[in-house]
Order: sequence, then C-alpha cells, then structure tokens
Amino acid sequence: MEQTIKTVFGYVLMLVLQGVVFDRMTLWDLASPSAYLVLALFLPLRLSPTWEYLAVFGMGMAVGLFAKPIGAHAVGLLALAWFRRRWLAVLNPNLGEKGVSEIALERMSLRSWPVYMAPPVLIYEFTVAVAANLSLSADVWLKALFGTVYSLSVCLVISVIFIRK
Amino acid sequence: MSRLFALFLAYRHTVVFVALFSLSLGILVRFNRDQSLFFTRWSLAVGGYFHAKHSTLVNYLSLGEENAKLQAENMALRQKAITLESQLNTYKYRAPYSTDFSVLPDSAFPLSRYVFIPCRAIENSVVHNYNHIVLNVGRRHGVEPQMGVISADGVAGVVTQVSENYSLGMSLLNKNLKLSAQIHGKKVRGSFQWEGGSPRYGSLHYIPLHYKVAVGDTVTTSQYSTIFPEGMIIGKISHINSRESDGFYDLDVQLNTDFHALDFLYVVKHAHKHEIDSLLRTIN
Repeated sequence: MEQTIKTVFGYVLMLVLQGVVFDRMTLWDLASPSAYLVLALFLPLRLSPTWEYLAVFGMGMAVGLFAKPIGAHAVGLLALAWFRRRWLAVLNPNLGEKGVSEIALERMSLRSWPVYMAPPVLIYEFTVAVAANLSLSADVWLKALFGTVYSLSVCLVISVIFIRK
Repeated sequence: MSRLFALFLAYRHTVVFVALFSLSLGILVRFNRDQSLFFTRWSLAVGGYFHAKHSTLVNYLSLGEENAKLQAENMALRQKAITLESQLNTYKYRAPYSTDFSVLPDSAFPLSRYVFIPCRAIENSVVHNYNHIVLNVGRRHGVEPQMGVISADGVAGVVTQVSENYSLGMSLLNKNLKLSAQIHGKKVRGSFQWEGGSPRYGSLHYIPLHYKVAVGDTVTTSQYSTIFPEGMIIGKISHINSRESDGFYDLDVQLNTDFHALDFLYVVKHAHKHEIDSLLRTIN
C-alpha cells in the first residue's frame, strides 16, 4: 500500500514538474525536455498492455493540460508504449513475448539503457512534432531529433538517480 | 456471439490501443484550432476525392439509363428534323408557283409519315455473306417485317422476321439486300448492294455515265421506297469505275455505319406503308 502511494505520488510529482519546470527549459527555441517519459519508459513490463495503454493515455492527457497541443502527447505516448515492447523483443530475440514481460528494466545495465530508450523517445518526439506542426518538413525532423537528444539526456539522468537499482 | 467475444479477448490489447489512439487524435483535432483546420481541409480533400470517384462510378452505372434517355430525345429530334425537311422541300418546290401555303394538305409532307422505334442490336454478324441483326424490339413494340433499320450514322438493314419481343433483320451487309439509292444533290437513282468482302464497302450500280460523279459524293436512300425516308445516308463514293459497254458507273461506296460497333438503332415505320403496298399489289 505504501509502495503504491509512493508510486502514485511520484507520478503526480513528475507530471507537475514536467508542466511547471521542464516545459520551460526550452533550448534555442527548438525543444524542451520530456522528462516525464521516464514514467512511460519504466512502466513495469509485467503490466498488461491494456493497462499500460490506459496509463500512458492518462499521462499524455495530463501533460496536455500544461503543454499544447492537447492530445498530441497522448498520441506520442501511445506510440511509444506500443513500440517499446516490440523494440525490447528485437533487442532480446531469445526471450519471446512472455520473456520480454519479465524483464526488470531498472536492473538493466547502464550501457543498455540508452539503446533501449533512444528509439521509443525518438518515436514519441517525432509523433508529437508532427502532430503539433502538421508537417514533415526538415524543421520538424530537426525538432524531433533535437528533442530526442534533449529528452533522452534528461531521462537518463533522472533514471540513473531515481530508478536504477 | 461467444466466438465474437473470444475474438475480442484475443485482440483486446490491439482494440484498446486503436480506441485510445483514435480518441487521442479526436481530442487533438477537437481542441486545437490549427489541427482542427488542418483536419477539415484534409477531410474535405479526401472526401472530395472519394465523392468525385463515387460520382464517376454512379455516372458510369447509370449510363444505360442516360443512353435510353438520349436515344428517346434523339428519336424525337430526328422525327422533327425529317418533318421540317419535308416541309422545307414542299415549300421549295411549290414557291415558284404559289406562295399560299395555308392551303397545303397534310399529304404534301410525305416524310413526316415516318415513325422511329428506338432499339438495340443484341446480335450482329459481319463476317458472312448474308449477315443479320437481331433487335430487342418486336411485334409488341409495333415492329413489322419490311421496316427499315437505321443507326445514328446511317442505314443499317431491313427487318425480315418479327416475334413478340424480338426482330430479325437483314443487315446492309447481306448480299440479298438491294436498296434504291441516290447521289445526294443530283437526284439520280441507282441500286445499292453489298457484294461481300470488306464490311466497310458496298457498291452503287446503274448510275448513268452522263451524270458527273466524284469521289466523296454522298450516297443516300431515294424517295422510291416505303422502307426508308429519303436522304438516309448510306455512305460516300470511294472509287469510280466506268462501264463504257453498258453506259453505267460501278461505284464503290464506303459505308457510313460501322457495323462492328452496331448498338443503338431505330426501326423506321412508314405510317402508310400498307396502303401503298396494297396499291402496288393491284398492279402485280
């Protein structure tokens, strides 16, 4: 019970920090870090995908209250959640679907984290950039790439400090 | 029902994902002005594209109906044209003698006695020496043997046998069919006949050599017929052969009707044919 309260409190705090702090840390007017992606990236894999989709949808809508356009973050997070299990299956071809759901992400080696996190973050950033700018121009690609690097860096720092076991 | 439920259970994650993704996109479009405008423009473009495709398809599917309408309209126009032509001819011939046209009887306008029955060719041969056409109209529609068959391009044949709903006709490409024909504008008459071979060419005989004819002259039906109205196009002269021995031309005629593409036709009905035929029988 205590653990659940701590987790829920951590999620709420992270979402508030995203809206109040991280969304204001814009660099060169290109992107701000999506630190709250840590929550989606480290959702326990033993959780049923249905619950996972519902959880990230809720997160996306909550972030949308602070950062426009509303709905874009939910779309991005759903894409991320759909992709990350498939990406883990690619990274661990011997495990199979069931094996993937038993991976303990917080116990993965530090070196394998960027490999696991980068593509889902890129997918999220790209989806949000396209949904926000309604274009596939070079400018959008640049924002998506820059956003990926920025968000990935922040996520890695947060996960090393708060999540790694 | 249980199978449907089992299917839903098997794909429940995908269903939830698709539902939430759609909901997110819906919220994105509903609550953001730019996205809403973009979606409206996009849906208009896509909707317009499919609407255009749908219209094309519907138009294509209703072509039969449109064709029938056009055929009926064409028939009415043809009838009107023939009546007007008939009146014009009558006035033209009468004008030098009298300008009091109000006293002219109806019998002064012989061409207006033709009635056209629209139909379609449902069978048509072109490769034999005695080719036939089967029409989708019969006795029920007022068709009788010895009525002419024309297409929009010209003469097509003559009805020979009639059943309740169908008719059999000799095509113009039938060696047994001979027509009284004339060269347009010359009032000189001959006999047209297809003599086998190419379905594009027939022959016009018995045009005396003292008449001047030229390649390109139009060959039409003459007024000496109760089967066709005067002036129905048969074809154009494509080659001239002179038979000095008997004093006539042998003229090759390029047919105006494309018998390979025979489809919409008209059966020509002469309102007074029986009367004229019974008079002719008294001579025989």
